[in-house]
Amino acid sequence: MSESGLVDIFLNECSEILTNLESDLVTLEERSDDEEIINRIFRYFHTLKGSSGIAGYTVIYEFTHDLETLFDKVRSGELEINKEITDLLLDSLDYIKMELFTQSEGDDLEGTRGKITSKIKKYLGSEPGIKEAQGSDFLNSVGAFKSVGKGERYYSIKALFREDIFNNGIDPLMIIEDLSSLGEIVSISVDVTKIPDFDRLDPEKCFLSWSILLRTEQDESKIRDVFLFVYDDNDIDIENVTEKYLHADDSQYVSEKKLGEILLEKGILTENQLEELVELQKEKKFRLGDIVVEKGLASQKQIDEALFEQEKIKKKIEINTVRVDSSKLDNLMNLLGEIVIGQAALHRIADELDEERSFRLKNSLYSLDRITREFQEQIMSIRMVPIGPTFEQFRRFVRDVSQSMGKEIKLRIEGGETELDKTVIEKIGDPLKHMIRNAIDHGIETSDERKRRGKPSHGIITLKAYHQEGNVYIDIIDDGRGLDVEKIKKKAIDLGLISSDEEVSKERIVSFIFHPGFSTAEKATELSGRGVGMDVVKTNIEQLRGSVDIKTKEGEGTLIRIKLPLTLAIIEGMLVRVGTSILIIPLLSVIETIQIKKEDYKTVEGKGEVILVRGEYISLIRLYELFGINSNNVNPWDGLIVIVESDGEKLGIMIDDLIGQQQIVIKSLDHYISESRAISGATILGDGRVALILDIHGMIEEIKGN
Amino acid sequence: MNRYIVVIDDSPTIRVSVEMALKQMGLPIVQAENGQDALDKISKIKGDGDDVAICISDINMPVMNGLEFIAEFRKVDKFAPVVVLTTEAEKDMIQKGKEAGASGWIIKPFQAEDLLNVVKRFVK
Repeated sequence: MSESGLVDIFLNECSEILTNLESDLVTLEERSDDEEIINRIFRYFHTLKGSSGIAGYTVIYEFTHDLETLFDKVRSGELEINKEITDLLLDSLDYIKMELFTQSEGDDLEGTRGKITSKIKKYLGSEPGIKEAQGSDFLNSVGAFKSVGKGERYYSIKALFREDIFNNGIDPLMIIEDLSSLGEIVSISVDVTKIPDFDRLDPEKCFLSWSILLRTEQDESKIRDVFLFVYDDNDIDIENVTEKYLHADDSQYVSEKKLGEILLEKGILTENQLEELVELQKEKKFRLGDIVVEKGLASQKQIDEALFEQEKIKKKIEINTVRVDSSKLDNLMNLLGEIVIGQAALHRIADELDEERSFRLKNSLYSLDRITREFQEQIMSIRMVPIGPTFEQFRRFVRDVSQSMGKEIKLRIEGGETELDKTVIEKIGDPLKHMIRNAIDHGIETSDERKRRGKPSHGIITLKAYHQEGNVYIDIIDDGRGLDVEKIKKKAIDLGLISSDEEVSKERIVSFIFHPGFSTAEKATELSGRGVGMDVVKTNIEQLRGSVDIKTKEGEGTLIRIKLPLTLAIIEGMLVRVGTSILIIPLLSVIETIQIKKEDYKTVEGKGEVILVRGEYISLIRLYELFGINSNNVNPWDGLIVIVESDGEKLGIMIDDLIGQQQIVIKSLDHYISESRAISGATILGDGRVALILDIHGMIEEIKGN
Repeated sequence: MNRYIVVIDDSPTIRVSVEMALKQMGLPIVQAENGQDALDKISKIKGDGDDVAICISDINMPVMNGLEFIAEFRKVDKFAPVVVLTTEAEKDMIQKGKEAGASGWIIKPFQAEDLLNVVKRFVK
């Protein structure tokens, strides 16, 4: 419904009310003690006020507020209705009619209203004005708020709700959610000691109370607003504890927590009680908990709860302070790898046993598998560190480098909390630095040039990290001039990478900047040198089993996307057989395994062998040819085809058989073997045999290269 | 099962503006002219196997006022929130509302956005 629709409804309502009011006022003159009529008239004024306020007729709203107040005096018996008042009220109705319906030029609306209002005011005396009733002042009147200025603050909030709070349709959780929208809940604890035993538990009652530490930039009034409706009749305590926290870090504070403080925080003891008890404790040398119970200030259950909490805090601190040499973690990871291999061997033995024993052994093995997996995740989580600090160190770098080149550049960091394997973090720093330097040097234009192009004078380089589908992505984005695709193409032709008449996609041209010895900068600058960097960057990232991708738009900027695996040491692998050899395909790359018909196999000029899968041609690779091994099948339609994908490109790998899927511990190969880009490493299988791990990305690159 | 927003006010202007303000909640809205009218409509809603998500009620109404309505409503629905929307701002009146079982208190005239935010708190 539109605004004008609302006005129509309001005007209709008004005209009805005005008519009724007129007749009621006149009737009242004759029957001045008819309470029913008095109440009805009051309600009419009240409704007029509410509706005009909502329909946006402020003048009428203020005017009817005075009328309502005046008539309230009649209702309460303070004023006796007489001709004078009746005339005044009828005049008021005439004025409202004029204002809303019969307004015509020459009407002195303001003058009329002024005269009536001043007459009304005479009756009202020093009654409070309309402001009293308005929302914001009402909020202020609830608590004596004092504004404390901006900045971060800490509040300790204790909320003990009435048991029957639910019967007001209020859910305490809703209030806590509101609190979390004001800032960050640093800590929250629930006191469950008041929950009665299960057989006496009334599920419709609330037995919980909360202690919350809130970090926020809002002032206390905002927090009180959250509790507005429950403040008076529930036990709500809001305390500004900024002083306590702002200069000490959180963990330090909790480490000093004594039992007494915990009891205090939970609202079991008051501050005075605690002081007395501590004195008593000094005298008698009893444990505080015992005294509290003896004095009947708390139940043993409450004390136990508090002690438990104290214990939890202690443990947390111990974990926080453990420092380990990272090589110990690497050793652990290696050992775990050996366990995985050992388990695989046990699985094999289980296969050879008779059915019953096999079943029993396998059952035990499955639970062992689960534990190993969890174990691995735990070690991984220790090895994972946020990338934030690595990103942060570039702030200074960007500032210095851009200044030395006379450019204005801001560095923006996103996703600093994204965690990566420590080894990856250590090795990603240099490539990142190189790419950022390139962005500053070649990507972002000078302020003058940017202004000419209608861009903001300062350039922005964004570093962004995020998780997606079992990988970590790092984006380096600049809003500079973008890569000069034509120039790169020319250079690629000069270098003989492509022929001048060849049709090459933009993506492929851009990827040439990763080629060794490629630099399009006409003049090598002090910083970027002569392009010895990007190929090294790419190699470094590929050593981490990652990949790099570039997207660029001329005049708008460049995005370099690095994709890295979450873990370096263990992958989920698919075991396949070719002849007598076992090979491993990383499961993340596998899309599906299919059998094809003879007619779906074709040889295409320039592309080699392809297979047709659901209308799409996919290059086929024969592993036995690639590695020079024997195979059972030579016809693609006799064996199986594993369809894999890397960076959006698909490949069909011809195999003899699928063996299964398992966790694979990667062992790196010496450099003389790993020169083949189709292999990323090897692993030891359960039966002690060595299996090579295929590098799908490298394989696709190699095929493209040939 | 439908969850209804019940708007109770003797003024059609208020009812319609509340309905407009709460339209984006995406819940069906029922208007009632007074407490009794609301109780009748709620009893029909519950009879159809549907439920009340929230009531927005005025205090000063003919036939059955807001306080009486809340007390009666609590007999058929212990936990659904009832937000009072009124010009009454006296502490005593608010206390009476709480005792009857009100969940919140908004003072007229109200901003559509404020009302929507309050309702969003209660209705997830």
